[in-house]
Amino acid sequence: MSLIEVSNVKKLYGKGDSEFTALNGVSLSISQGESIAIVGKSGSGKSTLMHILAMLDQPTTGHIRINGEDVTNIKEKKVNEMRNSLFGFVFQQFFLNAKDSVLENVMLPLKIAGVSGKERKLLAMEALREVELDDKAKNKANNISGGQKQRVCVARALVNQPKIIFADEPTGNLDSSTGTHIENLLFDLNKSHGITLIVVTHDYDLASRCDRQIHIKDGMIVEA
Amino acid sequence: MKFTDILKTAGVNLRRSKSRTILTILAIFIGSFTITLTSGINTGVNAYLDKQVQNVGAENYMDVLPGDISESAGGILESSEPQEYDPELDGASMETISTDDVAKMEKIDGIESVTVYQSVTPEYIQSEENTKKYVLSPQNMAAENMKIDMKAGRLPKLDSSTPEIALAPGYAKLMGYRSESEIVGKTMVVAVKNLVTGEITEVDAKVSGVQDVSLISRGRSWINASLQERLYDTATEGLPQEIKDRAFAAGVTFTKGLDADGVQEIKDNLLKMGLTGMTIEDEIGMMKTVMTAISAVLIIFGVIALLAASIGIVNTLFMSVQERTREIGLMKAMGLSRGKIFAQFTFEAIMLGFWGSVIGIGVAYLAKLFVNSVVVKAFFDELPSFTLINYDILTLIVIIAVVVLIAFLAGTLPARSASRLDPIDALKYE
Ligand SMILES: Nc1ncnc2c1ncn2[C@@H]1O[C@H](COP(=O)(O)OP(=O)(O)OP(=O)(O)O)[C@@H](O)[C@H]1O
Ligand SMILES: [Mg+2]
Repeated sequence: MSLIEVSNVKKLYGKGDSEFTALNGVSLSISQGESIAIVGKSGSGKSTLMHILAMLDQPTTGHIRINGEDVTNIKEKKVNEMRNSLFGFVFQQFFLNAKDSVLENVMLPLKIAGVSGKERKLLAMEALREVELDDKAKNKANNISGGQKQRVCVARALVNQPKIIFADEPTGNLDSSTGTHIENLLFDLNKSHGITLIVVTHDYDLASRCDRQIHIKDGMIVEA
Repeated sequence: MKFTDILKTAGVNLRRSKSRTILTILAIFIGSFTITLTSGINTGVNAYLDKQVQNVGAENYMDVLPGDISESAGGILESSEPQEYDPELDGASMETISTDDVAKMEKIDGIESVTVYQSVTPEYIQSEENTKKYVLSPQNMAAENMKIDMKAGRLPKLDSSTPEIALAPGYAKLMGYRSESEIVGKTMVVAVKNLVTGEITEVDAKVSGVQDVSLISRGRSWINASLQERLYDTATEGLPQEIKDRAFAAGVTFTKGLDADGVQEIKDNLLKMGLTGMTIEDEIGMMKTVMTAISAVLIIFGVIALLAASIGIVNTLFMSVQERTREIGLMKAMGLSRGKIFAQFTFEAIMLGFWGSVIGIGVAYLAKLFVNSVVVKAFFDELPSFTLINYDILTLIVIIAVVVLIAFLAGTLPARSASRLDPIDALKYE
């Protein structure tokens, strides 16, 4: 059984004259443990697809199944719970809370999940060790380098032991060597923890390291 | 997210933007301080007035004044047009109480006795051992059972044939006595001017005591009927009996233990005769009404300040939502529910309201300590057992609750917009 299954998903933005079809009948199936790259030109609909896969957005038509369960029209509370327990996110712009410490940033998903303070700390330190930043735990998130920031984001994405990590241009703001470091981290997680990796990228090197590449053009999946 | 974490996060966020938080709390503080202090003064003064009712006692006594007071008060606002003469409502005598009226009053159910008050203003009072003369404005003893705090001696005996006077505090010292108690039992002369001849005659009066000062009877000296009669007779000698008999007011004692309905019935009967009856409670009630009206105005100012402060809360939290848009979006993407984001922001508002009101009450409490010890000493020292400001716990709790409620309501606006943020839009937000 596939982990995520998308069937004939369409996403329209706007109405009337300004109506725009961002996704035009996308179907795909992703298995547990896979690493997937979503590639395509700017404005082709990559992020839109990722948002729908991550239940951050609703398709206009079509269905998504996660672990066989149709999640297209489920309650918001359930969506929140699923996002919190199943997914981890890494964004191009990091989105760390600058005034909080590195540790607090990593603990955030656990805090949202309602994990107690002590356990939160333990799990977050473990995640930081995994990205080799446990010595920076007390630093303000603002006072570390860009590469370190993205490693903190990876730690934050994996702290709740997710099934899937979504990464939208994770290396987009980094130079190539730090970018490679982040890539290595993500593929390590994919290999050693069996976390499914869904990466949106322009970078064909990164894409080629994935098990599978999904090419998007004008809101549709095309053959490479 | 756990409840305690929501609370902690709200607290951390408030501390992060310190100056904004402090300014908002300050605005709430001003409103709550005003309201607390005003209600404290109201409570303090009213409690004092209530105690005075008990002090003066004479619960079965009322003053009777000629005319319908409520009507004449209303009359000021009504037409100022000249009225046609009506012999039934004989003009001048309406302002006085005649022997006829007294006879009728005595027939009213429940009224036991009627004393008339005839106006006489003595020229002066003088001690036999001192040449200095002092002005005196005496008050007729109304009822035997008046409870007036005395510094020394006692009140004059109402029915005693000896002319007696209880002096207001201060005379003893002025007249050269070493203490208030030394003047008790001494004989004074009280002088009146005859209304016809202008001749000044001195009448002897025995000092029965010296009274304590209170807000109600401050500066009054009390004289008994015997002294009153002598003074009046001396002053009106030579006037026609008709005029002599006219009184400017009367005092009535009614059956002890008469209930409010019974008292009202007497008042209604008096009103039919064109007279107004007023118990001491009524008189104090009027003072209370004035006090309450003043407090109401001040409290309205406080409420206006609070409403302005609540706009401050809305503003502060909207700024905070704006600044934290991405953070909110991120937390929502990570599965934080709308309800908890709403709770986080409303808690911030509640904390602002709570601290603003608690600080307001705290400072109002300090103000109470200061005012009651310094200001009351300086200006109301002669009023023993008077505390200007008094707080009762229930009022304080209600103030905190109301301020917190207002803050909460103000907080719901920004909290709602935060909870409705779309995570994708929020994360795109630059
Ligand atoms: N909220 C929106 N309203 C209207 N149009 C939108 C909205 N969001 C995205 N679009 C449009 O949908 C299309 C797909 O957007 P999307 O963000 O998925 O592109 P992308 O492939 O991720 O591009 P990039 O590589 O530049 O990030 C674009 O043309 C974009 O302008
Ligand atoms: Mg994109």
